[in-house]
Amino acid sequence: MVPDIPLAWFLLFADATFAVGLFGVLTRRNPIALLMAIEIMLNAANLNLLAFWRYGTPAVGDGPLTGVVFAVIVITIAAAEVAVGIALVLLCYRRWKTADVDRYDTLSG
Amino acid sequence: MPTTTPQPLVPLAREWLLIAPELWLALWGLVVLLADVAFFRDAPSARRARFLGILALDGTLIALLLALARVVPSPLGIELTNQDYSIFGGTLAADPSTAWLSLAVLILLSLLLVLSPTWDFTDHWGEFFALVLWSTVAMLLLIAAEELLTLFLALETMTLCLYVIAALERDRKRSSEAGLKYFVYGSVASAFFLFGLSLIFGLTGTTRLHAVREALVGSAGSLGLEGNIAGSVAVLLVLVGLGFKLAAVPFHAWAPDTYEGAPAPAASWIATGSKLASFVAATKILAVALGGWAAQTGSPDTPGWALPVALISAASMTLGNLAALSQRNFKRLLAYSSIAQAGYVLVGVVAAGVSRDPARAVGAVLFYMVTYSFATLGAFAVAAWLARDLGTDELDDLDGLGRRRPIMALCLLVLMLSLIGLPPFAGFFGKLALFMSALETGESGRLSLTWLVALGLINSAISAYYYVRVLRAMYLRPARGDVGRSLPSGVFWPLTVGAAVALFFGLIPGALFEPMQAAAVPLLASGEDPRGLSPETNPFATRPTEEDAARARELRRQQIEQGRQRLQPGTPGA
Amino acid sequence: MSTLLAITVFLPLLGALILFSTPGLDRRTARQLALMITLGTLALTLILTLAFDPARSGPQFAAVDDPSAPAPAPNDSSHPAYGYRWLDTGPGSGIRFALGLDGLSLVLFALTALLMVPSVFASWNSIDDRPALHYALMLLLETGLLGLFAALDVILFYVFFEFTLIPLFFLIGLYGGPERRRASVTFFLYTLAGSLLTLLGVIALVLVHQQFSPNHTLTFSIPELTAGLRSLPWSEWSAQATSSWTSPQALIFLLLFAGFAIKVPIFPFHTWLPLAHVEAPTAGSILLAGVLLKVGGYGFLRFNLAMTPHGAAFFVPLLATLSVLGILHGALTALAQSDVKRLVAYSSVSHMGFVTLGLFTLSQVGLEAATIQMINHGLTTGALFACIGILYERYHTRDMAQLGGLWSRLPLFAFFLILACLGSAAVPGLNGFVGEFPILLAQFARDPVYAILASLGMILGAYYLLMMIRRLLFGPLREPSDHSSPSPNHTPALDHHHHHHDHQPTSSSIPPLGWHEIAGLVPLMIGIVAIGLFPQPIFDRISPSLREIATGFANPSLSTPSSTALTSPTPPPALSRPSTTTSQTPSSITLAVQDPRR
Repeated sequence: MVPDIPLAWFLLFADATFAVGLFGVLTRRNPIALLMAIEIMLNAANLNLLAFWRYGTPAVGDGPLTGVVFAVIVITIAAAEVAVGIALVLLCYRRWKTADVDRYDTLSG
Repeated sequence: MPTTTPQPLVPLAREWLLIAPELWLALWGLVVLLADVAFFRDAPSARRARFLGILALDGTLIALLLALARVVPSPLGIELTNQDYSIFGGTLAADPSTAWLSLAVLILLSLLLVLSPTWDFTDHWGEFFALVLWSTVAMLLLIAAEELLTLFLALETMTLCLYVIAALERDRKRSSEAGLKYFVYGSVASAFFLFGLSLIFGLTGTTRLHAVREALVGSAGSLGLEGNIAGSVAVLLVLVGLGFKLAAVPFHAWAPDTYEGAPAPAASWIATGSKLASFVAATKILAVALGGWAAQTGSPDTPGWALPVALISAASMTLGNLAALSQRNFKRLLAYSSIAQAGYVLVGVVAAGVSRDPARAVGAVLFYMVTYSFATLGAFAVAAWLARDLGTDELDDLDGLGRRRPIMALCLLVLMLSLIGLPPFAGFFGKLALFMSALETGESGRLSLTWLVALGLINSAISAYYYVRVLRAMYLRPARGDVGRSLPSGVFWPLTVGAAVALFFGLIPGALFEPMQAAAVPLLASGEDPRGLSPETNPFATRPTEEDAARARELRRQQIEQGRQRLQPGTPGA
Repeated sequence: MSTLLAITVFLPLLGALILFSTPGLDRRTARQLALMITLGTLALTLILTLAFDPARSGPQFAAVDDPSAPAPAPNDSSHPAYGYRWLDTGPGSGIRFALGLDGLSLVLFALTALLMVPSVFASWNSIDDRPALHYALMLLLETGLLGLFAALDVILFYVFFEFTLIPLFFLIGLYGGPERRRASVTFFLYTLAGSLLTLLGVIALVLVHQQFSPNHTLTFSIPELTAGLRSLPWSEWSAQATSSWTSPQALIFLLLFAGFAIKVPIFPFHTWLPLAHVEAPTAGSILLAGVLLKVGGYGFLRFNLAMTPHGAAFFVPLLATLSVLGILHGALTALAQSDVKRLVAYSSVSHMGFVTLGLFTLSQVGLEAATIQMINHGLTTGALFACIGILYERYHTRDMAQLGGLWSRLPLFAFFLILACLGSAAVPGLNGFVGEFPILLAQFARDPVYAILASLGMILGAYYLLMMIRRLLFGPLREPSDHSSPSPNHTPALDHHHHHHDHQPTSSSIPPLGWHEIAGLVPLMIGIVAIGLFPQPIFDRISPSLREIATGFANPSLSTPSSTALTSPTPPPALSRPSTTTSQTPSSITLAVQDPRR
């Protein structure tokens, strides 16, 4: 049997993706870019879920598709999150006329 | 996902009946939204608020009746035993913990719905009430969740609704900023949390909390977390995610801004209902699913989540209280106070992980969270009152309230004393139960957690300083401005009910402590209990058997086999 | 009788609730209602005092008829589960609502009920603003104090202990002098900080008892804990192990000490007291000095000395030093005051120093004398504050520089003031002597140096009190010229309203003592003389309880309270030697007795 791509590769890729997303969250000041970075982080988790599903064995009492269903639902949640996020970003943009989260500063302390 | 074997209609109907309050409330959210569109489009905002508020309240009261039916013998009745019955293939619990806690959440919701229309802060009343109702549905599901995917789904639904209502205040920059900040912090936290969950799924191959626990205790759990890098990362990520949701230091940055910026009813729902549900979820994840990774029983210093959580708890108490000392805004003060209160509750969560009697610790957590929620909701009602009459909610606006509104001031006094933890109010027994459970953790554990309890008590003394500032403003300063010009009944009810809860459960703590204790046992009950309803109550109930599992494994193996063959057509099968 | 005790404790609460619910009540009705409730409570307390059997040790009037309580195991602690279950804490009797009185708590209970009467009379005419609320707060405070002394459960004790803070905070904050806000907030935060540490100590005691007692019982009952902790078979708990401040018993002692030391107050923790005293209204001052400070002493006796005797023994040198420092500091500072109320406040620090000095002789004589001294201090300082209230109501000043020669103006007042001062200065034949002299005696047996320094404080005390009498009462008549312009919170007595606009006081503008002022002071004066002449009835009542505590020091590892020995069906082997006969005199205190089991 020719060896598959090892699980660790997928996991490393997921970790790297997560790190990229986290880096984006920490450095970006544009709210749209922030949203994208958050999406990347969620998708990194999806990669993990799928890889584990593909390579793992289900526990006693669990169905065969847990990982996939989980990933599908996470994709749905991510879509909803983007919808809400864009709405909030637009609201802020309309009130401040700027797309820079550092300028939204009525609250501090 | 658990096995989806075909089920007969009767138990399915029974299962749907058991979540009747949740279903009803979700439906009622739609009704409110449609009623807004159909009948009130052109009505002035204040009138819409009043009508839709009454409509939403009616639906909630019916849901409350349905939830009450769960704790009494009825077709909807839940067996109030210590067994951990679950429904829908083990995704949701139907046990005393859901029954009692959903009752508490729905009562809180009714008070919130009474409070909200008193202050005309938005044009989108239909959306506001619908989102509040739906976020409550998510809270109820979060409390009942027995499985990581359901839990995550409920958590996300809840926070997505809350992001929006935080930003709903009309013409206020600070409200939309609060919403965006809450959103950014919240979704980053979700991403952390989800990544942690994916690792837990990978390590155990399951998402059911009890199965996760068994898998961990069976394999890596016996060794603890020592040397287990993936496990440690998973625990840390989950803690980061939960820390954000609970507004615990150092993940608390969003809370003061959101509480101050969001309209008071929205902020109060973030501070009470969402926090109560999140604490239940956190307790379930940490004490049930990751119970094997807490630490060795009675010694919190061994590798596991107990020590990090203890540190988070200590930081929350200390920083929350110290930051609250210098606040001038009443809602911001409540925000820091709620950060500090989360720190106290986390003491109980640590105790649930390492104690020899975790149910007692969880009971203390639930008792504290319920009394805290009522007290905080009452305090936010005062903030809404100030914002409505004066347009601001600064601490100085409370000056002279004791003379102008003696009853209201008395209620707020009771709430503040309860939050300090003074007897004879409920907060005292909450703290007592939490700290005693933390000290009851075995011989060496007792010494290890003593510092945390001592810190908690010192923090109570520090916190007294800023709560007393509220008392000083109300009673010891001359009146100024127009505070409490008129008293809306919407403020009256949350405030008096909050005070009554604080006083009643301070004088008769057993009345709440015993149901919470009863709820804690099944919440923690080990996975050895039968999945699904017991045969006596539900002869048609199915539960995944060893046979099911074997069949599932076989199916999986075949799928993988086919996949491999597709990928490498040239090679012979294994 | 147990019902009667509960009624006595909660009768003031009932009065408080009535007064709270009728905030618009006029002054006359409010004070009459408050007086009725107070006198009713006093009468009930009198019945309890007469019904009290001084020969028995252990709590009396306690309810034990609880059908829900499990029957105690044969080898269980001898104390029944008093009272009614309040909060279930798993196995064991749980947190109980248990009230009962032993000799020690009885006398302080009675003192509280007695001192409420002059407090009500002191506010008779001086409270114009929201009088119903004022009396409601006072009655609330009375319930807290009565409950505190009667509590047989540590949590119940703590609930009442903390509860007293709330009414007193408002009494000072709403009805106090110009600095009342600062005073009330300081008082509240200071005492709360200490008492939270005490709570930690109390929890620690309960858990230590649970973990190391032979039956692992989780109990919150004070008698049971006292008995159990005295004979705890834990090597770290013994007298030998308590040799550094990090040993368990010493640490728990310190935690308990924190709250009570602030209440008493012991020397470096006394800074809140003068502020609170000066700013508090007269009634608040009387109760604060008369009863609130005794809570600290009572807590020392019930918890620190009874439950952590070795910890107490370890810290005796430090505590005795602090007590002496408090005596001297209080006396010297009092000397420098020209504000009479401030002077009496500092004299309180000095006199409470005597109380703690007596307590930390750890001998029965010292404990008894300290208890008597607590009662004396309650009576004399209560009387002094009442006198100052009378003075302030008439002149709106408490400055000795502006007053003088009042003997000719107010002869009856002068008589009361002199009697109270002499009692406070420990003149033989009056009550102070009965307390302070045995304290010095007991202390002399322990360490003469402390006793000599403390007697210096006694001499200073006599000096500043006599100086106050001389400046206030004798010499040429001096009265402030502007006394007739009242401050907003304090209007002079009703019967001279028509003199408000007189600028030169005439003799008719200073009324003689009213009946209520005399009625408030006479019981205290009777107490001052009676205790001075016949202290024996009080000694008879407090001796059995204090003997139990004192035996803990004499032969720590062997002795248990006599009541345990009497009623326990199977006493542990260590009890086979009679223990209650040891150490009746201060000279026989031997802290280094070796445990024969070692």
